[in-house]
Amino acid sequence: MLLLSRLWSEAQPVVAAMVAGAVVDFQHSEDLVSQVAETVVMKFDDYDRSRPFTPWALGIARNIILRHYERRAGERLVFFDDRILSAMAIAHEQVAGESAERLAAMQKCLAQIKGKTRRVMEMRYLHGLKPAAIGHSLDMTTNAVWVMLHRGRDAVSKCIGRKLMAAEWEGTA
Amino acid sequence: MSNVDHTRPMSDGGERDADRYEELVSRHFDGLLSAEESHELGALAAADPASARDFARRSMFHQHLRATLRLEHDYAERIPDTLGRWTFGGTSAETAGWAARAAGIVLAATVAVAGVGWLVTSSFRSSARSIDAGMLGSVSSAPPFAVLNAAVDDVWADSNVGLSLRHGSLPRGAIRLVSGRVEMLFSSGGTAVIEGPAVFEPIAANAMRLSEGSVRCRCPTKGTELRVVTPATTVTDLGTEFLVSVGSNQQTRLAVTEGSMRIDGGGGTRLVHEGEAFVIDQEGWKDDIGFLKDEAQVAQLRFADREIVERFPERLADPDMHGVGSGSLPEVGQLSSLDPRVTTWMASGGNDGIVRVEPVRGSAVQIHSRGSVYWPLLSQEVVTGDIGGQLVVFEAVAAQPASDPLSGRQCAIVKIEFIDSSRRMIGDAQRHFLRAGAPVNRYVPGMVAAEAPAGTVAVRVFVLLNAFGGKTGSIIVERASFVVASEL
Repeated sequence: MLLLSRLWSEAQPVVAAMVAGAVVDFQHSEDLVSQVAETVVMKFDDYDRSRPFTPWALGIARNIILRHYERRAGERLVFFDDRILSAMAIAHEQVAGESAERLAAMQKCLAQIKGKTRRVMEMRYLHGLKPAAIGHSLDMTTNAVWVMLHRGRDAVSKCIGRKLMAAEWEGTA
Repeated sequence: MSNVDHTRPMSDGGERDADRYEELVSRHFDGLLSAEESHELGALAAADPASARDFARRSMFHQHLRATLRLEHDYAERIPDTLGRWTFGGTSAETAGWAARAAGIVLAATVAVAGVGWLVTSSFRSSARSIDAGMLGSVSSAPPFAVLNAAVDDVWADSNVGLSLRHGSLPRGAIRLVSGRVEMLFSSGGTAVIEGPAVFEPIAANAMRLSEGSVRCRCPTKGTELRVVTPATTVTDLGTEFLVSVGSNQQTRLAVTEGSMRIDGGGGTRLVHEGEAFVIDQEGWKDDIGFLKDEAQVAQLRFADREIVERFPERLADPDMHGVGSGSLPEVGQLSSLDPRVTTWMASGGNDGIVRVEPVRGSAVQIHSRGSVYWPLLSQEVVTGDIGGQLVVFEAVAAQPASDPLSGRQCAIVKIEFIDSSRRMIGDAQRHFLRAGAPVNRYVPGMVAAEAPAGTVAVRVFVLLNAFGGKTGSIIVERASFVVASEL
């Protein structure tokens, strides 16, 4: 069972990212990742151990996302079809190894976001509020909230880029 | 609607697609796209592999942003004040320090994603390092009201949650254990063995919520209390051992294996005594003797008995640490199974944090927290041959020195890993012991027992310091013992 534990520990953040990209509602995406985990455990005997685990788990995630879309077909949901989700699964597997350095930089860059922008980002990412709800709470328009979120993320992203570039320069100097 | 001026001139179709993609993707993650726009975004993102990778990177960015903010918030929210109560929304320098440590944990988890996950998550294989160790300050805060005490083959829906628990932290909200068994130790002194699949949440020093799964609760001493809140009832342990199981239909099954307990729910309050079992659902109460008959199999951890260690032959090389000298320990992971040194003690990479100390009696090894290592460790591998189905017990005797005691969430851990003939890890069990606040200069045993899974041909044993990135704190390991109880 520990083999599964180890494999899932490695795959879970990649799976979670793929699900979050396809289902942007935080509550729904967390539930779906749990469903993927449960399915992985149930079907682990079917897993061909000569092949990589993460793509197998991503395949399960794709199927669960599709079922989620089917169940909620009448709602206004983000909708990617099977072909797009398959392409996403491959892409997530390909970029999975890039995240460690980026996250190391994110820790420092996020600390630089302060004030109202930080508050808006926490309302969005910690509490899962949509921009309209955040705007209602802070007496801002939805578009103003979105612009603030966009600028905050952009600042973090650019900061990460600068830090990675600096680290690369130091490494080659 | 779009806030991009589509009327401006485009130099070519590719640039126009890129602009449109940028506009859509930046609103996508805030849930601001219509279904039609989502289709359009999907088509653009999946148009070629480079676009798909860009979308995947953005998904990871948002996911990691959320995980980092959430863990920072968890730590800030749960800083205890000097009276042991929780303060909320702290803004002090201490809060900032905890936030940094929380972020360090996220990063450690992320290292796992990057392909060295075996360092930190399921195996504690070696000394997982913070990517930014300089941000980790000294460990000064008390533990949360419930901590992970033991785990066997645990698989968590969210690997960050499992990692956080292993650090001695308590993630906020409901926790989903997909499979395996874990034991949580509550500040009240009660323990709860939880068997996955389960969804649970420690909610107070003496209470937990169980939404799904099975739990075995024990209050070892008189005066300790542990409550389990289920969708149907609240069960209060009155110095006893009892089982609670919540099914997917929210039906609650209860059984008392020792002593008595109080049940509030199902239309009233009643005391239930040893040997009684009930099921509570919308129709009320019914006897449930079947649950009692099966109780030995539910949420049970294998026992670790000192007598077992004394009855069977010692399997470790150098159990008294006589041969361990400063700087001479081979590094974990750098030896092949054919290397004769594999049967001796090994240490964290670079022996970081491991020194030999002058023996109190016999010999001993001191494992230091040095601020850059999450789990400095000693390890030894034992080639056992096929021991599938047999009980194995690993014990280490350790103390915290008065000159460098443990603090905060630091503790010692004993761990067993089971290895098959393909060198794969196929199972594990671990137990935390010797926590901060325990008497100093006093040796205590930490013991873990587990049944070897089928296919086990070798076992790795570990003594770890859960250092939590602290710059102080150490344990002195005086002796260790590993036996295979072949005749039980």
